Amino acid sequence: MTDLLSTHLLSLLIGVPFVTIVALVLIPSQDWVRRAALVGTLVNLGLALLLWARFDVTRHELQFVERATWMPTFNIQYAVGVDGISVLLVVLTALLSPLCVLASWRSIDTHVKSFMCLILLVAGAMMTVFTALDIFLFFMAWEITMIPMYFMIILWGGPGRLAAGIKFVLYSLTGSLLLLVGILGLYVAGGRTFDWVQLAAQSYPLDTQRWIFVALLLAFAIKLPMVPLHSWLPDAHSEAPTAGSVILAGVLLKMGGYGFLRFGLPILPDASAAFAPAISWFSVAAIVYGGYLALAQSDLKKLIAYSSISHMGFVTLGIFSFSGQGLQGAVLQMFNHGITTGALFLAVGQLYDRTHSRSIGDYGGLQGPMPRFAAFLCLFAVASFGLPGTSNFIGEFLVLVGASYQSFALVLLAMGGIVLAAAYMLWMLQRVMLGQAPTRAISLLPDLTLRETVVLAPLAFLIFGIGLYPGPLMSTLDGSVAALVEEMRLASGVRSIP
Amino acid sequence: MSLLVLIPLVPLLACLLLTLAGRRLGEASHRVGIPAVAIAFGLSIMAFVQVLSHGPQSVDLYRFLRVGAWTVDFGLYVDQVTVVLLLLVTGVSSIVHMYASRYMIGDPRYARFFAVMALVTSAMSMLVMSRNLLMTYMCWEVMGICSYLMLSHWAHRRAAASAATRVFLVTAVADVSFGCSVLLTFQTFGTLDVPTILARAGSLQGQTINLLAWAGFDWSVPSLGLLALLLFAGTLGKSAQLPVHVWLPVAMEAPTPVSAVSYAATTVNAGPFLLLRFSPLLVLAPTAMGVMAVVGGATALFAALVSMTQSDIKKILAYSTISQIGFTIMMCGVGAFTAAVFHLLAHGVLNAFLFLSTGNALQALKPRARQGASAHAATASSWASPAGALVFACMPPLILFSGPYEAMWTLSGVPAARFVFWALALATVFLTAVYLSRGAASLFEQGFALGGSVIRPHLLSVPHALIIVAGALVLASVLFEFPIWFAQFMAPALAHVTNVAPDLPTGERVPTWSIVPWLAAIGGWAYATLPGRTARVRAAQVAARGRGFRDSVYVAFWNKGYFDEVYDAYVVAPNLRFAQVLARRVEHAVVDGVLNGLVSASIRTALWLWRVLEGRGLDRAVSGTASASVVTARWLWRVLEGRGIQGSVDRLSHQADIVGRFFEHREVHTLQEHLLLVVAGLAALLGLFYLVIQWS
Repeated sequence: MTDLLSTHLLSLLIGVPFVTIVALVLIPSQDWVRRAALVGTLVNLGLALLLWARFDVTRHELQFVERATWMPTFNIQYAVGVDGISVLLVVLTALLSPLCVLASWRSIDTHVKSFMCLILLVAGAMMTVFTALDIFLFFMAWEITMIPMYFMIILWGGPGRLAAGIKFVLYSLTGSLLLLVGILGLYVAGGRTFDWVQLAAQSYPLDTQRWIFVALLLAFAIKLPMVPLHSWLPDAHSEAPTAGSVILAGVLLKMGGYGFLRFGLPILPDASAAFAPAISWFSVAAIVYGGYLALAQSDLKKLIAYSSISHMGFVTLGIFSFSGQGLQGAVLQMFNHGITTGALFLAVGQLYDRTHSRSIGDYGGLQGPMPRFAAFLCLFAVASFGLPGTSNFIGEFLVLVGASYQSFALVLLAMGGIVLAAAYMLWMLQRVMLGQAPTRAISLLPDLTLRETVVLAPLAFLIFGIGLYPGPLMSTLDGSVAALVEEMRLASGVRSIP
Repeated sequence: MSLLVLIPLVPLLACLLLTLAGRRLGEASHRVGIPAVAIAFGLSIMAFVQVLSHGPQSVDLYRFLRVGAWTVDFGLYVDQVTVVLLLLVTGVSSIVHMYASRYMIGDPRYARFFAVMALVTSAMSMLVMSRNLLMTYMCWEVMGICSYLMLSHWAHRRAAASAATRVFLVTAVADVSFGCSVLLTFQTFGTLDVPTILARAGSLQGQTINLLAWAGFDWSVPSLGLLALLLFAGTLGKSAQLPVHVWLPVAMEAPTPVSAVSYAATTVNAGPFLLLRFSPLLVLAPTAMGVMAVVGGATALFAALVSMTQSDIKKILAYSTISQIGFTIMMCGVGAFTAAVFHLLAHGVLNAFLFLSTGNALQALKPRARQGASAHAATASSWASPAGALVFACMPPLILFSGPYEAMWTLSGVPAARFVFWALALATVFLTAVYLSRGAASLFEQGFALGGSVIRPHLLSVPHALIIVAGALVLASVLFEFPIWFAQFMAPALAHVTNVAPDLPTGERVPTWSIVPWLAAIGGWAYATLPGRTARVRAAQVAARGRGFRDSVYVAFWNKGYFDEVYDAYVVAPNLRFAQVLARRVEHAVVDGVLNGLVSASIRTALWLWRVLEGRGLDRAVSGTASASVVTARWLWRVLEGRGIQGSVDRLSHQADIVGRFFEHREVHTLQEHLLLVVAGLAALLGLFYLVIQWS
């Protein structure tokens, strides 16, 4: 058993969700379906934590690598392995999936089994995305994540679910198409292999790099999303059921950033360097634009969705600063954004379960009837705009340090974005939490139940834990990020960075 | 680890305990809060003794950030400036805690109140002790959110709710500058460790930074000057200086003990503290020093004038605080760092006293409190606290410019500027004396008007005059000796403006000039006692008389210089409108518009294709296949009718049935279209994949 755990840990991580799906299909009772899904996701979380614990931070190369031939005709393998960046994202995925199951415990009461299967399916696919070393496997898993999300939106979503679903699929398919083009381009240029290690070891002519990079850039930019390719996100996030929003915002968006870190920088360093200034300005535009649009929203979930766009701007800003601080900041921002935005969506979902309204104007004075909920929402909101002492601050600060090597104009604009974030979050809190309840029904809402508290408490704990002691996360990342920085330093066109 | 760590840690733990167990503790919450802050105060005294005997202390905490070789280490640095501020913060906080344990009784959010108070104390003591600029910045922002939590204490009040948001946002805008200065410091010095920065500052004179490099231009400024300016701009927000002072009067929505802690001892002092801490760096940037002196002086005068016109005692105190902090910052600007520390302490203690006694008086004037505890109300409001308020109201101007105290001024050596700032300072002293005397007097009048059992006040009554004169004499005699010792104690931690000869007061200066400020203060006090000059009467006169030049000036100050209105009209509203326009015009019309155009174009193409291909033939083929497979399935079913697999097959078919019925339940057409879309998309992808493989 120990042997299995040490040699096939990643396969177990990927396999557990799929095995759980099979088990769920055979269970007739709804209650036991819920419990089984919870157990499956918790086991996965345990395995992910085990992976993190066994991950050797002193070594820079890929760890827990497993390889098996899959389709020899096209040289396709089943190859998985992790570095520091993937470990954190795997842990994030594993952390959010049990919370999604818990959040859907009562709010999903039709076709529970199908819903739980979809959650597990997307969790398994995400695990594959974050661990795949074969880019065809990566592409397959990338595609699979789209399908359950689509069904979650159109079957369990809000009133505008069909339009939102169509929009999501159209954007995603366009992205996938471009990703496929990029991947096939790499396959051809890299001598007919899908193996990431071999692809990353080679160097390509700048012209080839440029074309492949454009295809990948658009694919990742849609997923991330970068302005102006973002318009699927607010609709999808706001129409999806709570668990769907959490998965979308919490982990799905991170595939874009991860794509840049895994395929953009190491394989195509010269093209990345060439496109970096433009991408940095687009990132800052996203930060400010997302902030302004969030300020204009009157729908709670849309507000959080636009804030996501703004926060993901920090991720690309950090990645394309090519500095150690920027890269670490970007990954931390991805991790922390997963936690805080996930938490915000969970909290808003709990509110939605009570009133079935997402409109800010329908609420007011919630601190009276729901003090515990108010405390949590307040914490998540201030964490979301990066109050020092909470997790998001670390990522944003490091990204800003990284960006300051490039230009202070970027930093100033990004800081303006943070002030905007404070503005829309606090204004939202003022309208929802403070003041007086608009109706008697609102003033009689019940406070959080034990289950709901259990969902939010670990996230609150993590927000403070990471915010005050980010050491463990940073040491996990250090080696992989140092390797990336070294790679980019060698690439042409990048000035030396301290 | 040293015991110093416990100074911020104990209140922090108290805050944690109160947050988690607040509901259970309820009205007993002060039993957690008071001891925690008292322990912190005791430890601060210990720290003071330690620094006095052993000099500055430094404690390493832990490594906060590490990227490769780049690290940010947290630690504590306790020097002379730190210990005196620690004494002020924890001392005032303990007194206010005890006061609030009575004042807040009956409040439904009693536990929350003490939790936030403990957090403020912890954050402020951490701020003054922090050794790392990033840590300072973090505590700085934590104090911002504490203000937010304090202000939302009475969250059901609309005014309090909007004040909370407004206060945080105004300071957040100013803090952008602080954030930039942190980043610039890191770039210039390669470290955020404060002692290292101060030690290296001298070697960076002459280094420049190009501000317009990103646009391809060249605009080089001295990096130290830029850093000092950014740092100063960052302190504007927290210390409520022009033009971002507007938050402090709004913040009076918080419970009175909060005002006493935040606006006397903690939040507003954070700004001057930062300037004092970085004084060795600031003196290397003369431009920044000049800006500081001008901004501080202007704020002091402006806020004093506004105070003159207000009739609400809490508003008067708010503008008085702004004015006094402006005064402190002006002192930093002219290089009188020791005087600034002293003023900070004196103002902190006196202001806390004023807020608390005002709170007492206001509480006593409330009908509810009088009914409940009339005896208490009578003693509280009769003469003890208002009289005390009056005495202490006259005290700041008296001590501020007493002879030796003034000797701590070491004006930066420009004679002309010296007189300008002197004039500013004198005017402020005069006005302070006027409005504080009036404010205290108005408390008596209100009490009298409400028919309480209060004594009719006479500002020139014998007991008051005695108290004032005696107090002033005692203080002055202490001050003649005390400042020399104080200045010697503070000297190692502060910068010295070297081109002025006497760094330390010798006590031998001829106190000719020191009489002038005394006269100014006494004059102000006398002016205030003239009949018919109270703010309310004056406002009525102006309203009745109409619009001369003097009246419109008065009205302008009465309206606090229209700062709030200007910000609302020219900053808040345009931003909100811009957001709406972006959402409507750009997001909806352009971003979504392009997508919708693409979609409708492809649908039109598809319809055209459909018409051309005249789906009949295809349709028939599809349904033919379907019925064929149904026939096959039935045949298979008959063949496979084995008992063994019956069960599992049943279950599977049951599931399939559910799914099928579910799909039937939904809008059939749309769903099928969706499915078709997904399948078609995937098929297209696979097809493309094979095509490219073949082609390559």
